[in-house]
Amino acid sequence: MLQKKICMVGAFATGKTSLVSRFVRGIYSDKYQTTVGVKIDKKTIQIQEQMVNLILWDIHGEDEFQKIRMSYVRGSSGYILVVDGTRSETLDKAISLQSEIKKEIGDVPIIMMLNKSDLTSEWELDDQTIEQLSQEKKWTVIKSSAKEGLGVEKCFNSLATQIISQ
Amino acid sequence: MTLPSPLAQYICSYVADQYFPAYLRVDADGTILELGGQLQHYALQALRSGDTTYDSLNFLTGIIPLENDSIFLPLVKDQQGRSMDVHIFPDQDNGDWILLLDGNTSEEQQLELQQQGNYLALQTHRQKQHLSKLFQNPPSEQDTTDDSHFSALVDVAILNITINPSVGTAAAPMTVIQAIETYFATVTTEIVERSGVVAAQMGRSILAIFGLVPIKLPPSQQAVETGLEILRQASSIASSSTDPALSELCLSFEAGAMVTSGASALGLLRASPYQSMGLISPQMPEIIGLTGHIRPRELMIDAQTFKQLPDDKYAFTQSELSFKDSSSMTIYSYRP
Repeated sequence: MLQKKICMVGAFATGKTSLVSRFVRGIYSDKYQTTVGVKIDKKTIQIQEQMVNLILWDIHGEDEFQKIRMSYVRGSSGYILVVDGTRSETLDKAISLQSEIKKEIGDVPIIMMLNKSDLTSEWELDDQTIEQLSQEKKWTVIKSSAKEGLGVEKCFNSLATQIISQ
Repeated sequence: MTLPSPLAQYICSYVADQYFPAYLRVDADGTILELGGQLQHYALQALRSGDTTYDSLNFLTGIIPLENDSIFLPLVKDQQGRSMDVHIFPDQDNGDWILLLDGNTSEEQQLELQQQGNYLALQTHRQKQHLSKLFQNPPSEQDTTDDSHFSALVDVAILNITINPSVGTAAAPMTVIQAIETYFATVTTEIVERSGVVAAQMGRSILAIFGLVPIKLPPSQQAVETGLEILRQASSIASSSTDPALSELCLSFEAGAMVTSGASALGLLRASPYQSMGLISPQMPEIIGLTGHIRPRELMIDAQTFKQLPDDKYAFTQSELSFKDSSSMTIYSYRP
């Protein structure tokens, strides 16, 4: 069976761990628990008649004191940039992280998840910014909510499909 | 580097005791060539030479075979919740070495600090969002180029928490500063959790503003409640440090508090895209000037704050503060 490494990256408290938890175990907790280092998880999915093991690397969020080690992303077949729609600065962080990761592992499939779509009234990102970003960067951008499960399966399946199709 | 034999032996036994080392050598396909060490600590005791790492060490996917350089992966937590430091380096002849060292202790230590730091950062962001909502109609760029332009008058209360480090302490100045920082980190959490905005930390004082973030109680009462709670919890705040020496020093601190209230002008200081909030408050210089009059274990409030508090809730005592220039000020004080 194919086995592919996928990394979750982004600023702290964007919901990376919650998204993995929703995708792998189907559960969500409101309690915020920061990630130190990296948490490994696995989920088997079917893509185009083919079973694929996704090895998910839920990497700690980056902030001004805690930079992400690029050794974590080594060997990734693709990665997910997670942005918290209620904090516009997390989009800037995602963009800068993507630039660093590209230097380390080159061009691999990317999906940007705009998380916390259940809190739309508090969003600092508007549709125009998102559309512009999607066109400029040529990334697949998906709105998601780990809390409600919205867009989660779609995101992982879409990334896995891009990886397999390469 | 060549170490004397006793030192090398000591290091080996220290690492074995503290970090439960386990090792594997795997070929390019992930087949185990040899293994050993404390594999049971990582639930890998069932592995044998010739087995594959495909399932049991699935985090190696994509990483091995190495391309001549080594990799360090700190604090990798597996699906069973075990945290480990993973060192991978190529063998001279065949395959790659994988060294696993326990990371649970290190993770626990880092988790506490990181959790608190991230929590505070999130609270600060929420406060900024609330402040932005105060301005339904932000001034135009032209208006805001003039720093004197403000768009709102708000009632705020300012809380000054001042500590008195023991004069006779034998601790080094840097240790005292470190203890003050430790003490104020906890005080800051208390303030933020009670919807206060920390405006400044000046030496042994910390200033917080109430009324900028929407709250149920009037700002003056919220500031008084927060001040009283901090004074009541002084000993637990002081013992929050995990360093016994710092904690002991913090316990010798004596905290006092003061609250002043009144209207303040709040506005945007600069034009988009770099807008920042500004607060001009006549109470601010006043309360800074009163720092030297704050008495340990006592909450003092000014007349304006006193007027805004509900009757009979607090047993404040009225008195006069006299200043060097022969002026005086009415204050109300209370020892929780």
